[in-house]
Amino acid sequence: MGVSDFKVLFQLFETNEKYTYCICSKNGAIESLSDRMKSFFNTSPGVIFEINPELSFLDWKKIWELADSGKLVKQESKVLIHSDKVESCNIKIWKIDPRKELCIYLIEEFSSLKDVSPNNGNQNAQNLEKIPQGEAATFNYDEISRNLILYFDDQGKIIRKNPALSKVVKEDINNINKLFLETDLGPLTEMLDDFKANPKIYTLEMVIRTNSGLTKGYGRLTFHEGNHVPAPFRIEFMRSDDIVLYGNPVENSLEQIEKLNDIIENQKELLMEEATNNFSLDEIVTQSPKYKDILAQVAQVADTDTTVLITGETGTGKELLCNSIFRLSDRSDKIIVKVNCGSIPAELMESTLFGHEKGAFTGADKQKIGKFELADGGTIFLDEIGELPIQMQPKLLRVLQEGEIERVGNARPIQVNVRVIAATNRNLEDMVKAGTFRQDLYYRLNIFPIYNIPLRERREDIPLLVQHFMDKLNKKLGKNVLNIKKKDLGFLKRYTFPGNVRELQNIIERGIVMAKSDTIDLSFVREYDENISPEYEVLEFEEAMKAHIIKVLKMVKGKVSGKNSASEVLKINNKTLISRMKKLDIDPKDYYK
Amino acid sequence: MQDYTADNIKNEISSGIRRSDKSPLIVVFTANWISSSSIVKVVVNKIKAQAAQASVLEIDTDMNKDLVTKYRIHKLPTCLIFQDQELTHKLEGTFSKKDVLQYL
Repeated sequence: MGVSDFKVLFQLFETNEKYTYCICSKNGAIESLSDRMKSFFNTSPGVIFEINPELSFLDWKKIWELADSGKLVKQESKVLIHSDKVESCNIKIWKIDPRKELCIYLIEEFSSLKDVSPNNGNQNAQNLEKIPQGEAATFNYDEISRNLILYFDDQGKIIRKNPALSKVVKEDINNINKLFLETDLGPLTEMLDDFKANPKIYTLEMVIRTNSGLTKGYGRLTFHEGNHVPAPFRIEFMRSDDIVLYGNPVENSLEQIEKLNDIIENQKELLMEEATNNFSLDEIVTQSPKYKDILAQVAQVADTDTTVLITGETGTGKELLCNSIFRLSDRSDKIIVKVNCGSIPAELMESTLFGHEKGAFTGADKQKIGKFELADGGTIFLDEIGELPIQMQPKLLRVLQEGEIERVGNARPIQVNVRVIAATNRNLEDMVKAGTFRQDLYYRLNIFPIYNIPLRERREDIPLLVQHFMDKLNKKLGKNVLNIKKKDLGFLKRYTFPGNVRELQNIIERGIVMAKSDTIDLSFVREYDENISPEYEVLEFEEAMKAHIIKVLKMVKGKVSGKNSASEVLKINNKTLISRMKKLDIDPKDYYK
Repeated sequence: MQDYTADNIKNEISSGIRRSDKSPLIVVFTANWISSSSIVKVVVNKIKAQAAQASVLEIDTDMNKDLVTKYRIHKLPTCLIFQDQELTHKLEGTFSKKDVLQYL
């Protein structure tokens, strides 16, 4: 629900002429005014300064508690207009969106508002004069405020200050002859031009420097273009000591919230798209009773919130099972967030999963929401869970047990409701024995284990899968390769497929690319027969690279650069190749012939 | 509630008389040889357990070719939902429990 939705909802309140409303952040600053209020005051949110029962801004805690109570408590209150005029009214506060920390203030029996009705033609400017100039109107906020209020001009020269100054800086006002204001962005006077270019309310962390010392606090900076105030800038300052911090005031601008929301929504859509793009339950291809049993397990657990652990060799299609669980679950219309624990650097893991606050660590220049928070209400897929660093494991355990996360740099727990699907090709039980995976986490993940069988245990599916991938890849590659030689299919049926379904798909893709007719060219797979033993082991990346470079060097008879050389075959820069060879301890002289 | 068999339903649906009560009727066309047969089986059982007000019937398409023709079943599985004795929804392809229950 965005602010615009709330607006539509609360317009209903205005059908009763006794009510109008505005949407405020929890510190009482106005984020959005109803049209009736706006037209009545002929003004913008910046001019109506605040609505607040205490007549003191930043008294968030109290307001928030009121809103938290869930009751529409009627409060006698004042509305501050043009910084120095006050109107009496009754308000009811209602928290409308705890996440965005917004309240709605229903304003009731606001005496002057009664005069405003849709039939009241020229209501805008004229109505300003109709405000009853009673006691409320002559009430001067500046005089009675316990906050320091300063008016100053373009040069930063202070034109007017209220008596509260002495309270704030704890010094007799007559003894203060120098006053400097410094915001967290720099000296105030230097900021004024920027602020003028984009006039709105700024709430800034700032320091007041007087000849009696420094006073830290928050200032709210506003602009006045009319004649009713003596200077264009007004600042209201409150000491840090007097504030019960209930949030970060700098983050409270609605624009920022909306911007962040947009980013999240966009990302959610992207994630949804990426995660489930092109996936349909009808894509599953099998005749194998064993695999059908696995699918039955998937369907059995899908509509619960139970944690699922999918195990099985690499390339068996663990993500396909995850997608199936998601599609069959009651959360299928919510988000699914996929995280590959193996691809995230250990030091970034915590902030990736749980998010971080601004300034939590060097380089954390923005608040960031973690994957778990993003997945709230939906599903998270933790691929390669076996790669999760051991120091992260207790934190994940906590999410699984308590449903709570903590952003890095903020100890306040955040409740999340996330269904967890984890997957790994590693044997977690062995890892537990070796001490690299926590036993308690293993048990918590292993509630509903699903073992995905390797392709060699469902050989009856190979012809079906070949057909399926040929259809799919013909479309992708824009080809029309329809046939496969009997002996090629025979080979595929016998082959061990250490890389499982993924390997089969890659073989078919290569075969289609190489096909010169409408028959798939699988001549290259026969090399596999000689080169790959059934006990094929996955080589480490460097070993594989070394073996490959040696193979090419043999082919080109040790020639590294120039025509028909290894660097040409491998399509890399010869200098890069030479440095690689040095690193891998390969001497081209060994391959001269 | 009366038990529904393929024969029963065939008679009722094809004769146009249909069922006497107005409770929802869910008819699932499936076959053992389709890839998602085991999923369909589990999902149908879950629907039966959760939608007590509805009758759920599985039709083996190999045995009931005439119904396949009559209801123009092009894809397996297909789920037909009858409400107030009218066909209201047709779900083609593998469906979830939620896909069906949302229409009841």
